[in-house]
Amino acid sequence: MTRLLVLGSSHVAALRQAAPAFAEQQPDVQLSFFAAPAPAFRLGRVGSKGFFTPKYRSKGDRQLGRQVNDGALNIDLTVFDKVLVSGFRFSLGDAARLMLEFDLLEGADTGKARRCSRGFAQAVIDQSVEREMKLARNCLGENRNYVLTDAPYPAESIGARIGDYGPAESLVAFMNHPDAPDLFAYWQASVRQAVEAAGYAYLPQPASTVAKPFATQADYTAAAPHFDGSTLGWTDHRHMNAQFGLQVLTAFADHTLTPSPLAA
Amino acid sequence: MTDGRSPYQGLDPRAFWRAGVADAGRYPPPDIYRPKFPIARDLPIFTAGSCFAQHVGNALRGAGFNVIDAEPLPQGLAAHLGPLAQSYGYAMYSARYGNVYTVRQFLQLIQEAHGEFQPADPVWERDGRFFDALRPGTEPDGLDSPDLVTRARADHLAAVRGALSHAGLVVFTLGLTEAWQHSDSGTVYPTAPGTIAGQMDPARYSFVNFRASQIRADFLAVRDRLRAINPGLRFLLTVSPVPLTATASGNHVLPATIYSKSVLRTVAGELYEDFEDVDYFPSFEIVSSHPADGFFADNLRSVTPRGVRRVMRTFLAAHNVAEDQADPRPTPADSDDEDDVVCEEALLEAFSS
Repeated sequence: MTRLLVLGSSHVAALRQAAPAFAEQQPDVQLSFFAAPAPAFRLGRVGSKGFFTPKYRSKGDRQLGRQVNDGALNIDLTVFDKVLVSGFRFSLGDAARLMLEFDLLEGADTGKARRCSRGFAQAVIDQSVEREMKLARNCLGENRNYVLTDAPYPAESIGARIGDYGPAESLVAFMNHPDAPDLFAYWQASVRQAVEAAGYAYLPQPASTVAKPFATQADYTAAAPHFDGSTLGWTDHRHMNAQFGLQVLTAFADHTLTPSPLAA
Repeated sequence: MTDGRSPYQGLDPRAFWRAGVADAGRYPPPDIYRPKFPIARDLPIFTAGSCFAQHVGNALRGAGFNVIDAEPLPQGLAAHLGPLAQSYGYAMYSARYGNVYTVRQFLQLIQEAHGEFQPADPVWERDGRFFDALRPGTEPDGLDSPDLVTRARADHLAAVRGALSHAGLVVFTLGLTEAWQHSDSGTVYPTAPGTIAGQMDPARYSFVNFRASQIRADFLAVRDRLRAINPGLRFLLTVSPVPLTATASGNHVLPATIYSKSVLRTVAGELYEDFEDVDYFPSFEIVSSHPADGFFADNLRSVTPRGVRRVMRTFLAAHNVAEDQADPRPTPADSDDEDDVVCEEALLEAFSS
């Protein structure tokens, strides 16, 4: 029996909804969940006895924490064999903003008035990743049984929110930019390197869910759950549903639980 | 007929060392700088010069002046990326030309932007990467090919041209008299070959220590060229108080520094005297005349963030910008931990051993 904790922010909800289906696939895995609103989660800390406590900022945070975690405000990590962490956002947002206004000097000409070097775009990615990784290290400490997975990439349908969600325009532009595949691959490598350098394992978002660079297939955003157990009343194009959660858990099982063949 | 009184009698207290400095009650002394002309908040300001000029530009921008940025970053980019962007030449000056240490370099830039100058050896190489010899620090890792350097420079020059076309004030900080040049053509570079990129070849490149007459002539050429674009253009000059990191003059670096700064100060002073459209702000004097007053960092070279604030507060106060009107947002120069301005000259430090 493997004791697996899924720890993170509101993105844990998709995985939680996938738990029954995953249990059928992996009956030897005992699944548990612990979640907190993103700001509280990302600024949380693991204490010396191995308990993770979110940084609750308000009574509301605490109330929600209790509601989604069966009354608990913290969680003992030492009783789990693996901790799958979903909530750190190694965002490509700044690179996307860059590509909204610039073409790459070395890349395709899409008619933009200005160009920047690929080196600068990559440096922006590296620094953004390192900054998020610093947050993750502060939050999780040096326990080495963590597996970090990306918070879901925005849905390819995020353009529907251009009117009310600031980053939507640049995210759509990035997804469709001819040089995005290269930058996306660079970002994935940068995230992996940073996560592994911290002593954690890395689980990228399953390729089967990816529609375009840094874009999740739109189908996965329909009927996404809130982490209090309800279904989001609208499609926010950022949170994914149980089908997505199952893809992540399955990828985790394939990545982490499948025994490696023994050397002869 | 005269009354026989000393011509010093009746002068303002600021004219006397005791009243103007020793007993002034605070430092920098009040009334040390009287602007020759006001600067309207909406006047487009073009900034350039040596490392210290970055502080001037930051302070002006922070106080709400209209500092031109012809090669801006996208709005909304995370603030933590600021220092990284500056290391690529963004948000340092009015375009990504990096530090302009000599007036000759500034003249070349203006002429090149208008198709009147073609630099010699414009692309330098290091470890298979290619650098713009006229601004080698703006792509720290270089580019893949000389063609890309040329293409990037064409974009940059167009931005410089655009910025100059609507500038109403040029703020320029004179930094160095020493430079390295392409011997045959006289093309001047901001760094010595072999410092960031390129290779030193004594048969090809040579040292030059510009004299006051040359610097004045270069500035007058700058002035003529820019006032041909905008006859109403004005200039605000400062001299960088930052000592030389190294000298190639053969002299000790301390007298070489004082010589260099004295030449620059002389040129600036004469230009101020000669032209109504040229103002001078004494940042050099404020810092250098009281170096033990916390203005310099432990290396006795970098001006501390606190020192910069004191200098720029004096400038802004003279232009009737109260402190509470200044934008308190932190700039890279506000870090108390380190001097964040980008200064290729400091790389010479690495060559000192």
